[in-house]
Amino acid sequence: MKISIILPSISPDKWVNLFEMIKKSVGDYTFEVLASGPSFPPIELQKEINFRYIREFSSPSRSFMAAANLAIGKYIMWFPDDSIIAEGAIKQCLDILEEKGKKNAIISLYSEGPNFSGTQHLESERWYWTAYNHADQKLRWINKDWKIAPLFIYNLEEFKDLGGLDCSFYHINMNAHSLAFRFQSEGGSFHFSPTRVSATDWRPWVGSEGEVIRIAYETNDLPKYKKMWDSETPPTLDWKFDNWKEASVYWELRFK
Amino acid sequence: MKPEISIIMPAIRTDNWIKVYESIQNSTSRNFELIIGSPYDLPAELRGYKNIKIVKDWGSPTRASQIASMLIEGKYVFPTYSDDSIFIKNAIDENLNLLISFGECIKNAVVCKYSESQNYSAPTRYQDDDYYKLINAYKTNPEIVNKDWWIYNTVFMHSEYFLNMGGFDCRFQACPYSHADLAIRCQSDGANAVMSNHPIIMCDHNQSDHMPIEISQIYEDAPVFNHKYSKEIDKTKNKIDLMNWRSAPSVWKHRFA
Repeated sequence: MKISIILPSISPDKWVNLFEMIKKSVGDYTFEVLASGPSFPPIELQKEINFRYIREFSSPSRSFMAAANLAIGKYIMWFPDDSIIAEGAIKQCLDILEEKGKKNAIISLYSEGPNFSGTQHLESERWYWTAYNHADQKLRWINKDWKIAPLFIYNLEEFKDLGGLDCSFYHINMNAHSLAFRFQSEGGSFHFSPTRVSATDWRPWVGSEGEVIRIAYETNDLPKYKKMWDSETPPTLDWKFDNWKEASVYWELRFK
Repeated sequence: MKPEISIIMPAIRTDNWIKVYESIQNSTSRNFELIIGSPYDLPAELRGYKNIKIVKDWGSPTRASQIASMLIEGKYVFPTYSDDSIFIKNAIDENLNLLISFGECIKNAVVCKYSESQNYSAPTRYQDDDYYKLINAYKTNPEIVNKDWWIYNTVFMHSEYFLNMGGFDCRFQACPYSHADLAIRCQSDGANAVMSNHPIIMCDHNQSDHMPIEISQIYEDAPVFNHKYSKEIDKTKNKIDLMNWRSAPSVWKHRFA
């Protein structure tokens, strides 16, 4: 199995399309999709052997990691469930990684913005992928050269060695940054995907779903992140891969 | 709140699951999680319960159990429970109390009796203790497998130890031999297994869908088991890879082909 693609998602109605787009994006590489969330896959996917499912009522981060725990690909990546995935784009990334060692990973370029208006994937926008260029990333222990990879492709073994996502964060964002920093501080190298891999129609904090993410960001993730990267002493990057078991099985913020 | 006990269930009989779940509720007052390995969804009546995990899998019962076991969060585990059975009232608590009373050593285990009959017609028909020994249940060689070692068909263990040992060997497809193998690996590793006075489950062996189990058990699992334990117990192989399910077919040909 070449790649495991995680879909932490509460919207199984989106999974059929995502599965089809992923199929077209990986080319000849073997893949599995691991969806995690409260609802079972729709009928079209139930007999797909490489569409796997884990029932989870937890935060997006824990939901991701519970699925990653069962991944068997050589590489691991993920998509939010509102993604539009480009044909052949994952294949191009895998072509790069197959020529390099496990200390290499991909920044999976995406764009996000209202009505797919985002331009972050463009060559002229490369500043976006360096942490320090963002206001909430100008923190004491964040190296000015470190890249961010909110959507990533890591070697799974390396991902596990690095502890995966820290599930004391709820939303998959700040913990993906911490993971990227840990990766780079331990000698890992990022490469940009040759093309845009995905696009989302993203409107910050809009709708009930956006509100949940906003609360998670403001009340838990950002304060925790600042404490981690802006304290007097450098952070200890020692979270373990099975840290998801310490997170709540039930995310009250969403599943009231 | 985290569960105290994880119950693993490779399962296909969705019609039975409500009865199964209710029997667990009646068998323990502790927080539990039921982890189902199955190709099928929960019946609507159970979808509101947050302490049921499902991992979708079309593999053998052993593979489904093993994958499900990777999601264990309880301190204690009942490694495999069949969905043609129901738990006896209060029996989970009685057996867990017994296990806990032995102390914190993670190698401790409590082996329980179970009854088997058609349509639960003989719910209290338990066998003598000797029936639950490997030498009788699997005709193991007493010069190789200690004659006093128990089977682990229905056992309460510390999750940490179960996972440390790598769980089940998925070369065995059906549960009986994968449990027997686990029992030998654990007890030859020094596990302290004790037979409980509290029977744990009643099995309904009136199921018309047992044929795949019997075929794999007789023609495939038994030869692998007998070969593995024909000369000696290789203690260096007692601990196996928890991810060994990756080598087992993702579709179990005997049932889902």
